[in-house]
Amino acid sequence: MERFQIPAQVEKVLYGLIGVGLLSLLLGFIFDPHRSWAALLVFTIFLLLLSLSGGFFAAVQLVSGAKWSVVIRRLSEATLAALPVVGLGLLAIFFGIHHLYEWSHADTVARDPLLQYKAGYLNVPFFIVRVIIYFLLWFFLGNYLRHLSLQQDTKGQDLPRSKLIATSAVYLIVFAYTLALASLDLIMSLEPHWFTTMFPVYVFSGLAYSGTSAMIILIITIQKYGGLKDVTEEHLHDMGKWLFVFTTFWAYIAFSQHMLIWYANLPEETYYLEQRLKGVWGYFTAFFWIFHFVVPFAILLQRDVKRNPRSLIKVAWLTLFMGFADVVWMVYGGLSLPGFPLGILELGVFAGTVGVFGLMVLKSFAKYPQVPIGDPYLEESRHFHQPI
Amino acid sequence: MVQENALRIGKPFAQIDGDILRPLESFPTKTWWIAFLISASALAVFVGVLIYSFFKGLGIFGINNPVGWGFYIINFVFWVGIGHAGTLISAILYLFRQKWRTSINRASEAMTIFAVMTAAVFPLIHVGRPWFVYWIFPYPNERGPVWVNFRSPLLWDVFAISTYFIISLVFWYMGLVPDFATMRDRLDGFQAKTKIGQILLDIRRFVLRVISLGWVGSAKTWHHYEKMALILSALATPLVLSVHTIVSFDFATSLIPGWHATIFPPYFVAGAIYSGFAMVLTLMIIMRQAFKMEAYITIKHLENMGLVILVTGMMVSFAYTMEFIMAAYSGSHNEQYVFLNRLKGPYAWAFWIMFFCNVISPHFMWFKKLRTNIKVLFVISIVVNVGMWFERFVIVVTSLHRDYLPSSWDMYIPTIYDYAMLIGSFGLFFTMFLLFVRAFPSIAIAEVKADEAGYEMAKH
Repeated sequence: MERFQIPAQVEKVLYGLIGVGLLSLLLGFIFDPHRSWAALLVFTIFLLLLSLSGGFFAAVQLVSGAKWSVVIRRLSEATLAALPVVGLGLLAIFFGIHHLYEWSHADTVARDPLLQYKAGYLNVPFFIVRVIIYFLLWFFLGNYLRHLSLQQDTKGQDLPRSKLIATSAVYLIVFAYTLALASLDLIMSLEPHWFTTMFPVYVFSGLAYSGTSAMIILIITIQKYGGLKDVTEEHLHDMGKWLFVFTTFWAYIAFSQHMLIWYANLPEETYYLEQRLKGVWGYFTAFFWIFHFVVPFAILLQRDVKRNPRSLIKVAWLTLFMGFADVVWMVYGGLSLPGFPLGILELGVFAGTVGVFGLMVLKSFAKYPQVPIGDPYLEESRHFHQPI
Repeated sequence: MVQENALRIGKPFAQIDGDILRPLESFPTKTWWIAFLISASALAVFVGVLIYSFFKGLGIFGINNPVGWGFYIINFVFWVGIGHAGTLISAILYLFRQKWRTSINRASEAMTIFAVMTAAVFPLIHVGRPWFVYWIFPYPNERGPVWVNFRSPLLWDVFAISTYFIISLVFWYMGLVPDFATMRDRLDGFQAKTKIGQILLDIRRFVLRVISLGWVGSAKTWHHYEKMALILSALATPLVLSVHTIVSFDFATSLIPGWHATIFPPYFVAGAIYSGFAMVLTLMIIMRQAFKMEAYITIKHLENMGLVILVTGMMVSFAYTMEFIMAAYSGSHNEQYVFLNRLKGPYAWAFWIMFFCNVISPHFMWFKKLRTNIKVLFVISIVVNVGMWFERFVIVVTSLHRDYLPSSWDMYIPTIYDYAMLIGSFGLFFTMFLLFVRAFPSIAIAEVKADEAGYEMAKH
């Protein structure tokens, strides 16, 4: 099986994007360090969501016994390769902890009884330990799943599919709980007084949404340069449906969270929305709902869009960017940063994230056969057709 | 690689018709009569207590001042939850192209409809004056005019559940049309022995001719039919999720700790699917045994339902965990107290029953040996529904009985009439279900045959 070769042109573009990201962060730290720390956190979280999404996708497909997706499983596993950069990002966050997390200041805590109460959980050493534990679990379990899946190439039928399924099931459970706790620690604690039970699910819906967009972009780009020949418009159609599902799922979760907070109007909870609806943030939130949900929903309802790579990739770019804007919405809103939250700095960081993610994933993807050649369902997946 | 298809039945079509329609075309068995008598007696108790409560008032039930919502709401949420599996199986699994749904969709859709009907009885009585229940529908009127409160999630319930009920009914009926045609055509082979028999047969023929809507089964008819099924599925899918979402809003829009949780919508939906599948499993195991339908409802079907129970059970556990974690993290005294009170308070027994049934019991489904064992599946399916009933008990009662003001704390002690209503609701449900299996084909004959034809084609 032929390996994919990253075209020099693409590699150049990706390095360029990384350069743009680094440059904008560098300039950011010179001119507005406070905002740049937030941007760095956004970068780390967005990259984390993208890298974990592929592991989630692969594990779900294995557990459910799906056959159509076998040809794209290798690519989805490759997204886990971006995790080391996430590790670097988290390391940087540890240094910037005082710029981001209110509860890390001893004087703020001393004035705030609620933060004193939470100090047993929200304190710097414990925070760092927790984040390291999550990261190690994601890294090692993800790599184990990938390693096992790669073994299928050589062992074929000798590696029982049931072992892959069992590992995926364990992976999914660990993924669910660690992601939930990580979303609490990394994002929710930016506003340490605020809490809501839906939040981890909200972060997960963003993960699935951005991750699917990234996968679609990767598939179509790789195909443009002669890779992944087994993926047909039938598979793209299903990926489009998958994106449609998560567009709707995000809207469902976001609506439930926002509506219930707004309706109950509890002082300890409702200021989360108030902060994100006043002034320029009101426009941002409205923009965000229109382009995160309404527009992609309407576009993705159409069958032709999902089957045409050229149009699908455009939608995917939009949704990928909106997934990024969602992270900005969560992080920046909590830090009450002045000005419109999407500026040059953020666009630069988005470019940087795309560059890093694309480069890491494609490099890792190019190392191994493009499809799981030992998988018993590979032939079926190649000849997959949409029913009716 | 050619795989032997586990779902292939491998019988001639005429025999499939005969097997599935046998319960309709023969005299009821003794087992059916016994089951029917038990259910009908429970239904009689239900109606009796209902009438008695109209004379005596709601005072005969255990509700009191802090716990204004008791068994009625628990039963309502419980039955609406059960009503989720049917349309999920017929609509969502249809969109997911899950072929195994074919043998079980008809009976589970019927179950959905009966469960929603059973559930609807409770708010109907709870409105206080059931004879004015049409007031909940907003229309221009001369009562003042008196309008409903559009901001109330209880009103959204009316819209959500009635829409769901209508669409589920339409779905069910559309699925039945080709089967009614089969029944109509089979009537030609029947001969009446007596004059009354002839009249009954004529009535039956007439009714079937009407309700099968002139179905001829041509290629064109089928083509339209399949398109319609796809579109109806797409429309029914958001409805399945909306119903329990709205039911969860009844609680989550309030200010009461233990009720106001934003995770409620997906958590309730997962719980509803969990309990709905458990109920389908219970009914299917009984049905296949009683009507000897092992060839149609195979171990594979039961195993798949066991897996759905495992997955949704873990989702429910995840939501429980999030509630506890967030309460602990919140630092909010009231929020924390509710959860501690659930663990250690006077209703801790209910919490631990729920914990065992909902959090621990589904994990038996990890093992293939257990999830292909009919006895184990049957026990688990019942345990799960016990757990889900107690989940609603825990949510409703423990949150209410000790609210913000300790001076108004009280205990909720259900009376004999509460229990009678609970048991009676099962009577209502099972009576309808037992009548269903005698009057309608409980497996979708046309769909089973279509799948069979597909498998035969794939073999060649």
